[in-house]
Amino acid sequence: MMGIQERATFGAISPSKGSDTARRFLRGSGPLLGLVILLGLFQTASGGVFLSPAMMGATTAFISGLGVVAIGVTMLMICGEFDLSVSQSFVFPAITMGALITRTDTPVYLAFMIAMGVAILIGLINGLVTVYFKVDSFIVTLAMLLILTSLTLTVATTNPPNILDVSSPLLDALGGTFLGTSIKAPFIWLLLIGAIMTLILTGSRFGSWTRASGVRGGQSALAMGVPVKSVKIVNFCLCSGLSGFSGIALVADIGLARPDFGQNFNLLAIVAAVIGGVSLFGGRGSVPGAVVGACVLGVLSTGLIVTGVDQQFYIGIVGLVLLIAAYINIRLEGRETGE
Amino acid sequence: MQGLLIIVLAELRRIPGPNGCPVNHGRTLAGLVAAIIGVALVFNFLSSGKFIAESTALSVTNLAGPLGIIALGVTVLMIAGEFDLSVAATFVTAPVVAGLVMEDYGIDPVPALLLGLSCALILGFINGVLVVATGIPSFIVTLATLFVIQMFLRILLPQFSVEWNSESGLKDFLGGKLDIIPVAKSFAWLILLGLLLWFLMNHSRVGNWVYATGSRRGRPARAMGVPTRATKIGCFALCALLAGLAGIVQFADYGLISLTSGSDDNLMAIVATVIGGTSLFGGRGTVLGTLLGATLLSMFNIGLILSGVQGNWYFSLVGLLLLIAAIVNSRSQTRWRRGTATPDEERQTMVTAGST
Repeated sequence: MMGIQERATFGAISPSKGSDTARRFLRGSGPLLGLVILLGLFQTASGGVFLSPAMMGATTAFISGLGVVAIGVTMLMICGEFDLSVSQSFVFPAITMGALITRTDTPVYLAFMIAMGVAILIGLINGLVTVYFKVDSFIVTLAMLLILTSLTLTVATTNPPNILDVSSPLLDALGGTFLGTSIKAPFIWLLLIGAIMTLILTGSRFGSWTRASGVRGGQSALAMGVPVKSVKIVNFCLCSGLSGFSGIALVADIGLARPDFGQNFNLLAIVAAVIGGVSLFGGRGSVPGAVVGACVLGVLSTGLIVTGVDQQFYIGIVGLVLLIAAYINIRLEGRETGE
Repeated sequence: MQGLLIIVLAELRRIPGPNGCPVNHGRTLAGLVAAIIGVALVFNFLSSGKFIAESTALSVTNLAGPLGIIALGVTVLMIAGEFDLSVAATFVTAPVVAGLVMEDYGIDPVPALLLGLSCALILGFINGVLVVATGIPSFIVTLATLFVIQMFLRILLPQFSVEWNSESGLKDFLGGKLDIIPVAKSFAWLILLGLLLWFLMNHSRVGNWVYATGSRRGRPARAMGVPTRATKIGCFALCALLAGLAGIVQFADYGLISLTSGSDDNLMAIVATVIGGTSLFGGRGTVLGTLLGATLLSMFNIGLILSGVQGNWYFSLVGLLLLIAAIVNSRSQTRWRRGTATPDEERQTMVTAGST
């Protein structure tokens, strides 16, 4: 996003607008409150069918895919950068893994390592170009998105890799069911990754560095000796690494690696992050918020189907939710409008 | 004629931007023209002589026309410091509205097209007001409106596509190819609009306002009394209007518009703009560069097909081109920021600073 580094965040909060406690409560629990209301709404509208295990299974599959991507995107947005290429760093490593397993008889473990390496390499390139050539990350990752689109289509060919018959403990751990229960492994991964990233963001030095790098283009952080460039590059790697992992988990679950998986995830992940309360100007955001944001999108998606609303409305409602969430975020930050 | 020559020469000289940054449109444009010639020669070699031909000229201009017209609006908006991701939907909205009222109510093409264009204009106006009034970054606002417009389009057009069946002179006037040279009419419209906008941007007060609004987030401009908010809203409206116009030109050309028409055009228009040398940070850019950028993109598209390369690789090439263009743009700007510009550029900077 243009000018994201130039925006100043500190000192803009004016105490006159609303009480601080209410603001803090809304920022922390607002998204969750919205999710609960949404769940209640669909539960009553569908006559109690919505919260059944079968329905929840479909919803969590979507949420776990998008949620992990949204966590990475949130981290990146907190440090003041963007990644539009996540939809491709979601699907390309997964397809690479599928192709390696089915076409070259590579052991599953090795294929997984290579695919994760590819995912992290994508972020490394994004980060290096953004930081050292001083090109806006919007453009760098847009270019990466285009380049990876070609590569994905080329690797996938007209006959996408099918790993349904491949049995491996690694694939079970990534995409099977959790310890014999009906909960899918990707959802457990989402919770695990969410917990770890929350700890990193709120309780570690790297987390503070990430937040500091997003304020005023990281200039204050730089003056305080924070390695802003490295922090940004690591976050780019984290973002594409998490998307890659999420894609691999999905393919391990479904058994097919199709090039159209995760097609709109680059935009939807930003929507999820914004619903979760990430600042559009960097410096502030929350990992659990991003997960809740992904949940809102997932619940909306299946909820509309269950209640019989035309599927066409989904995209429009997502747009409206994005607009409202962005507006609430800005108001909560107490920013002067139009500035 | 002589006046025109003077204007062209003035454009090719180093023109300092309003923010004091020396803008070398001449160098950018010359580089793009060289790139276009070079790419044409390379593709001609790769396709064993099939690229430099009448049919190729027609198909390249056919692609470049609508894309370029969208990109012109995106460029003006980007110079004013904002983005519009919803152009892909606006592009479809205008012809869909026009086509539906023509088909369902038998309204004449002229009022139908005007209705379509006003819809586009209103959408742009809404974008602009939302961005200016809420302070949400335009990237987010237009992403949201893109989604909402797409929803309305799907409700409006369950049959997915609409045709322009009624024969009228207007259809031949807007679409098809020129009589004398093998160039699509949409491309002629692009050149016409490009020249018009170039004149507006470089030789009118409104053009100055647009550049000033995008420079340093419009702070100096506001201090000088430039109506930056109105300028921004106007740019959003212009951008949407041009996107709608592009859609209508393509509608007249193909006689059909579907919901997936131009679905990548919001990103491709940004690519054409950046390749044309417009700064992502606003305040710098030229519509003529965008015109050439769109042409270059379309040449890649057709050239790869003629050379027998798999169509997938088009995206890769565009991505690389975008990256190179962005790096070149960014380097020239960083050089200026660091104060290591050439003495000539420094002088120009001082001249501008003194004159404002």
